[in-house]
Amino acid sequence: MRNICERVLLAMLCPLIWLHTPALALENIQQPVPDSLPQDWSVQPLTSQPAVKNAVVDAINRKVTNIPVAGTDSLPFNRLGLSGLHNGARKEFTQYLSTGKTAAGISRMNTMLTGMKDTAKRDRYLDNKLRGFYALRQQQLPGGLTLPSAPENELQGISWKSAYSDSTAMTSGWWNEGVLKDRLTIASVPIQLDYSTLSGYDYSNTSLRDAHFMKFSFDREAYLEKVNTQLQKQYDLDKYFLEDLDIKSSLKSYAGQKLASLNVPADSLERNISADQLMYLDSAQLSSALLRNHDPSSAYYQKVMELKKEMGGVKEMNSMLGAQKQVNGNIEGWISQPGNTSRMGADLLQMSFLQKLLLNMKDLKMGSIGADASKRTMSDLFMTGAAGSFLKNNKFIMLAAGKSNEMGVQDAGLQSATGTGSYGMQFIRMGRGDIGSKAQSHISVLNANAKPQNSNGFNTRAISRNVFVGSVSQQCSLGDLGTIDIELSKSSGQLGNNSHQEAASVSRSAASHFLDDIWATASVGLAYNGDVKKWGLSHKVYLNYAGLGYANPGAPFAGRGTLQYGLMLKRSWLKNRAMVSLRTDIRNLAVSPVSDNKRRSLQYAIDARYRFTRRFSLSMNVLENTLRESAESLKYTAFLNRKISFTSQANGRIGGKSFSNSSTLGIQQLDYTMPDAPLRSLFINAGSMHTFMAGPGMVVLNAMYNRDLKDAAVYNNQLNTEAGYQYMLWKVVSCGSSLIYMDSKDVVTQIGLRQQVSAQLLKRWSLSISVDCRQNLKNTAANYYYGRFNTAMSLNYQIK
Amino acid sequence: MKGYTILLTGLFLCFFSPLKAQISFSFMPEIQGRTIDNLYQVRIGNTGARQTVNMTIIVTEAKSGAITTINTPAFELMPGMNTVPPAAAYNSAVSFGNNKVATIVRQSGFFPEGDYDYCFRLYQGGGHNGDILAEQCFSYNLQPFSAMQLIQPYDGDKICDKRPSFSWQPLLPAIPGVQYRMVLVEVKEGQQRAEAMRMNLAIINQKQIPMPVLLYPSLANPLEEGKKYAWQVGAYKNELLLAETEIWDFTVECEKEETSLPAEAFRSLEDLARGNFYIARKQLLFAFNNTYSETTLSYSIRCLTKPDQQVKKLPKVKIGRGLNQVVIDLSENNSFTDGYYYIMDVKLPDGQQKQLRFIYKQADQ
Repeated sequence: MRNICERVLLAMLCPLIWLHTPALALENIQQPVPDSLPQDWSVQPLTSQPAVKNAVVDAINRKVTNIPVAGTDSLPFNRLGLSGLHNGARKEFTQYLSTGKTAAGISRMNTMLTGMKDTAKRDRYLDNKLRGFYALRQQQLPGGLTLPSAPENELQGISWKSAYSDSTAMTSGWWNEGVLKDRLTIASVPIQLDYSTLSGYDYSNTSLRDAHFMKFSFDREAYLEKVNTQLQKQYDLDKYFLEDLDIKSSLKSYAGQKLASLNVPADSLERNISADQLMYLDSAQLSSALLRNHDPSSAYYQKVMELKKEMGGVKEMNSMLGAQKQVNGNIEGWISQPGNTSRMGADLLQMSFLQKLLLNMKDLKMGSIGADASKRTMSDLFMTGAAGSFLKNNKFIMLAAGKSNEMGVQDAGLQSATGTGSYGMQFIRMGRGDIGSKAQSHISVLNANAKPQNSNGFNTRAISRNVFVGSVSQQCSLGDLGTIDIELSKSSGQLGNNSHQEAASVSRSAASHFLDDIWATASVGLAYNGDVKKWGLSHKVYLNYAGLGYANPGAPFAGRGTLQYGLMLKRSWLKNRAMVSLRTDIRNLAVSPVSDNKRRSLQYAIDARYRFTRRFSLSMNVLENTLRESAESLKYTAFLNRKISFTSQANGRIGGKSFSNSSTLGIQQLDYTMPDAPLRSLFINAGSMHTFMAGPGMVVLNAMYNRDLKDAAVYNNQLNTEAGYQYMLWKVVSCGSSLIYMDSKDVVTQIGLRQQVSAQLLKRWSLSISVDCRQNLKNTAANYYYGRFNTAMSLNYQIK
Repeated sequence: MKGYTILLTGLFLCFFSPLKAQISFSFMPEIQGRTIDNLYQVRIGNTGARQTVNMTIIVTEAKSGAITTINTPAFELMPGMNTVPPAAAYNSAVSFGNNKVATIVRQSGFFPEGDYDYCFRLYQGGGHNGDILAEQCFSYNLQPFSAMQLIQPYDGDKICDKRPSFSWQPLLPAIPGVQYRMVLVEVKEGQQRAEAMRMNLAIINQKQIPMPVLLYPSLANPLEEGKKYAWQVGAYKNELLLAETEIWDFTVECEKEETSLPAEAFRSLEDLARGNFYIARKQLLFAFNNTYSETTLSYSIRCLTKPDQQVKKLPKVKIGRGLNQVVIDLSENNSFTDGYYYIMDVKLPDGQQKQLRFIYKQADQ
């Protein structure tokens, strides 16, 4: 076991060193993201600003009644620089510090405050507590500083949807979806409970196929809101940031007190320096003023100059006084965001270890969950398990574990032969910065074991297989130029159970073979994103590579054996009236490690839009997608999809009635290889949707025509027209009625009626029903798609 | 003697042939020979009695040689059609050849391009040196499936069409009987698209699509504006899902007529002319009383920030008798730059001349 662990660690370390990622370079780990607050006197430690601290102490003394207290202080107030606090304030401050602490906690605190070690930490602690004490809304102590502990339950909503369609190509006729959302709050920690069920009747099997999904997730937003509410209830945060202090008069009073405390003979008072002089003269001016009456070697001269040094220069003084107003505005904005203030909650409220931990928990969920991190680590993965991510001081960690099933209930009637399989897996990702943030640097490790799937009627076979994937993800900011994303990943797979083999000593752990077959099992992603705001230009260039042997169960739909690159350019002009975007994607798909045979896929697309007026715009889409086979003797285009279309959008008023129109006209060439013969078709597509107000409601006219000019395609020769009217009944029921004519050439011709009704009932209930009935005017055996009946009903009970 | 030998040989064959024919293999290499897991989908027909067997699967490639050998543990072969039980499949011992093709199979489980022989050998009992009950080989010149790719609507796109068409690259090589299945679901708020794909009721879950294109089904309800949708396509044959695309998503969002500007009160031109710079958010609003007959307002605008910049194409403003509330839309006029200072000279019908100074601002700033 130890051997395996060592190999796993080695395997993780080697690529990191090889790649020379800064993720491991400890000296490069930066300080936590600086606060968005201005770094000025209001947030700087009071210990470094004696004048401000003195003002706070004065304010506290005024706020707390001074009751003569017998006995000695339990804390060394003088040494802590709080000698100015009167006895009543000292008592209450000591009480405030001890609130909610156990005897051991109080003892630890006393040791820290009285000890000589780590004075910086002590000063930070004291600074925060002094501000907190000053900002307390009520002086009654202790109590009230904990988060509400009473459990709460809030049903957020339930909904049920049922749909039936008789189209034979739909996997199932009946589908039902039920959803229940509930929020349970225990010890102020909100947990979102989502239950949903999906069921359907399969045509081939009359039994109901159903799946049930339960998800518990930590509701971060609601939690931060709760912490913030409690914090705002107990503290006046304006006071915490000393917003109500009259700095100018406080400084003057502080300067006056200090000057008075200098023991100067009474007969020489008139020659002494005033508080205003101390504050507003610079050092040179002050020195010359002093020299008029004092010897530079006198104690008075020395002490005044020391005091001047302590209080700062004129420039600092003026900027401090002048900036107060602006600072106040910034702080107001800052404290209105729960994300900011809740961080203060950990220091100012009495929170348990778990409650403090959750303040930095980005995401935590359990049950039937989706897991996403990045393309080469976890992407579009659905599993039963748990996943969570944590970010504190810019250090990120994500953990996930669970079992993925390849097939879901919607795949009823199918068995998998895709080879992607079902896996039990464990995942860890850690490093600097949040996912997607600039300057993130992460390493990830995934360990997965193949499992057969025996649920929902699926019964897949799997060979015992262990897959290990190690990845490094890095995002670099280039400032105004944009960002670069780099992701390197390597997989290692070990198949089969070697217990029958003689070579039992060969390790079956994929991690121990991590460095085997590097290029065949590597995946690399490089992307550059940037924009030039001045030109309205945004651009992206990317390059992806994945070896033929690369397998990552965390990203079940990722490609193998591909070299893909492309670019995207988008530019807008004339205050966004004109926009053009260009996109190219080129993919080389290897088919074998021993031959040069490959497939090449090329796509380019151009989108352009011009807004002539506010009411009329025209857009164009040009697309070409080809897939070419290239073998030793044979090179041909196996697939070609070429298309150009123009779309107009118009809205306005005709005869005082508003209307809107969206029309499309396009031509599409579609050639591809079929098993029997190549299919070459040329479609024209035309469509228009027109709505206008008429009477109390709105008329909706919709027509779509798609026709193969070469008569090669059996399907998609279609004319679909709808004429409908949308209206309100009794102010609460909105209805839509449509007449439909649909003709699919040589397949089916239908006329039909669609009726939709939706209503808001009793404030919280809403009901929506749609029914579509068709009559076949003509039908053929080739009709797989077009059923005659479709209905859907959904009922919602929504609290929020 | 010669005739006797022939007769004996014939009898021998007649006697043993039925024994040999008791067990047969059914395997479709064009589908089941593509991945190592799917080799287990071989069906074993047994016309004899129940017995304990074990199986060896040997795959070789014409140029590269030995690719893999799989030995299953013992399992019970029942009368009739059999598949290898999942437990036996899971606990198989697998060894690989020492070549590049075998490396790819070992790492990914997929067979790359090649001319393969798949041999299935069934042994009696639990050991791989027992009597061979049956052996059968299948050959196939394998071209791996292409990675299917969605084409349109593009991933993350915003479209206005509520009945869009969908297109994707077909599965290559083209195999007779392959059809496509497309699933479209709504992605609800707070959901990931993988969750939506598994948990939500599908708006379209259409099978039997013969072409790599699907027009929005006439019978399905249209998509709704403002909602996000995820879609995925799979290629299948009979009940076997052969390949799947990535999951992509798009949002239905039409370009809106710009939101109407916040209602601002019409201030008297007299006041405005007296005051300091007025902020014109995409439009100029002012009011004045006209005691004269209907006419066109005579006005011009100059740029103060860049005096040489000409202000052209100003709209005509008709004024009537009584109180006139004038709105001059500047947003479509390229002469106006955000943050620049302008001055408007107005000559009222009564001959009075007024000057209105203003700063032009984009409304959303």
